[in-house]
Amino acid sequence: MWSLPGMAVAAMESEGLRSAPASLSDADLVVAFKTGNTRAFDALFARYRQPIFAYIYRSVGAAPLAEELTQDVFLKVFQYLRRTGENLSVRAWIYHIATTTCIDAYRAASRRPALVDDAAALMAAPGGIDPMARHLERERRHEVRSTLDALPAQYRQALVLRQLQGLAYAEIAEALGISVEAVTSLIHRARHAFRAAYAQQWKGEE
Amino acid sequence: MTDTIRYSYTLAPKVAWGWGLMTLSLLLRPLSALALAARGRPLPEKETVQGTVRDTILLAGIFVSPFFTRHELRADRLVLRQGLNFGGSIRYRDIAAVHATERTATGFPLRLYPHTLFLALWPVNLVAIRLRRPQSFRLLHLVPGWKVREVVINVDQRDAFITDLRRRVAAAAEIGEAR
Amino acid sequence: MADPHETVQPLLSAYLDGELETERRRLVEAHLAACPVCQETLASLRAADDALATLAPTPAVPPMEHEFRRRLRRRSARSGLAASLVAIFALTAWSLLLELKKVVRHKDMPLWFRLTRALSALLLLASLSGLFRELLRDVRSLAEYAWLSGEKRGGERTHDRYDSL
Repeated sequence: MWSLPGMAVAAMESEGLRSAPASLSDADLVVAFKTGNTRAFDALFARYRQPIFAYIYRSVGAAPLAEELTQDVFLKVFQYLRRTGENLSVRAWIYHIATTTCIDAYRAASRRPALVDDAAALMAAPGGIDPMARHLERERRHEVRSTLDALPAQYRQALVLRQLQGLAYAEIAEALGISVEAVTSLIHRARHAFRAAYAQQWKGEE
Repeated sequence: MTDTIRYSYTLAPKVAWGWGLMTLSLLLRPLSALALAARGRPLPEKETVQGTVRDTILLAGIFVSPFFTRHELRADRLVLRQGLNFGGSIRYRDIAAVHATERTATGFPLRLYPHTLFLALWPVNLVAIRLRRPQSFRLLHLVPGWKVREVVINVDQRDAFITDLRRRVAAAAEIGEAR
Repeated sequence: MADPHETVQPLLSAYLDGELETERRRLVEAHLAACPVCQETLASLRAADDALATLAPTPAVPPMEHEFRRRLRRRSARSGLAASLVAIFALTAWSLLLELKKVVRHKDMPLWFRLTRALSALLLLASLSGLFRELLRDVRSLAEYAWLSGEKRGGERTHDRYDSL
């Protein structure tokens, strides 16, 4: 309990520092958690909440479902983190849990979730003042979004993890449970598939 | 990689101690009764020589036989074994993902859940193998179980096993695509 | 010798992502300088990336700490499975202890027999406790977290300061 990271987390709490959690690495937080400091979990939760939500949201397409699944992911993280090994890449591990949670959700739904017209996302679009430009931008986003959603799940997950979440190939391999060589070929095929689907669906939009 | 590599699952200290201790403790009971009978002494109440021999054979089958088998990575499939309790195989092209996992189940040694088959002797060094399609396996080599999506096993060298299996799965996928 | 074109094509994506080590990267760059087909493929891959980059930012994750902690608390309260396992373990331990007592009391049996039976009971208990110890630790950490978070609920709302991260 009185390991260095444990003391750091305790000091952080007593001083009420807002930015302190960012200074502790994932590995430090995991060590603190394993030695009994369950507060370290809060820091991990805060750190990965948004990225995991974003990944799941892009995977399943609906915000309420994504919220529920995100919670499921962190419940599992809490339960199983204590038993993980020494050299764990926490980021890749959490994404792995998110991936399998999404897969289970697809199976439970037994059909792909319908495309949701996400008003919130559309409203958040920056865009220029020019209404025509904004409209075109919205259209473009909608096209990209529906093309992405129409791709097979594994292609979509690979593209989201790589492009939107910025994971390295080794981390994607851990998240998806495949070899690094398989990730290389998967991303290559996913990009081609996306390009082909986009060109086919929105003809003339080159 | 076409050579067959075998991976043990009973040599890790926790498994050897845990499962070994359990096996020993369970076997001591009937064996001590048999020793008693061999010396011509009467057995304790409710125990018979027949019953004791039967118990010994059963226990040996369930608890000792897993020490003599290993999982195999063959050219085109993964062969899973657990002594006399289980024998099954999964083709690489039927495998979707391979992960290290900490999810355990209660009970032993074979546990069939709605979607998962737990084949691990002891809850350490667990590997989850997710299948592309539900597949059913035979328990005790005879009884067909229901179709499962995932199989969880334990192996002594977890990282090496996962890397090896992932490579073989990727190679099988490539061959499949080339056709 | 393998056709360089065949070798390089599948590596283009990895090259774009900076995931190739020096040797293969140089190979790809050398080939790209001379091959218009591969240059075009690379451009096509880049276009896919650019298209994806235009995706609207995902909506901000809704505040979920309270809901999450409520579920965690419910889960630890509802760990019926854990409780029943503890019960099974306790029953096993108790029946083994009874067995031990019986063994000790049977003076008509030889000593070595009684000791062996006692040993067998103890060893079984020892191996099973290894299995249950992990489970109990899980239940304990769940309960501890749930208790801690329940305690803080009325007070200073420590958790909300993480919202800005």
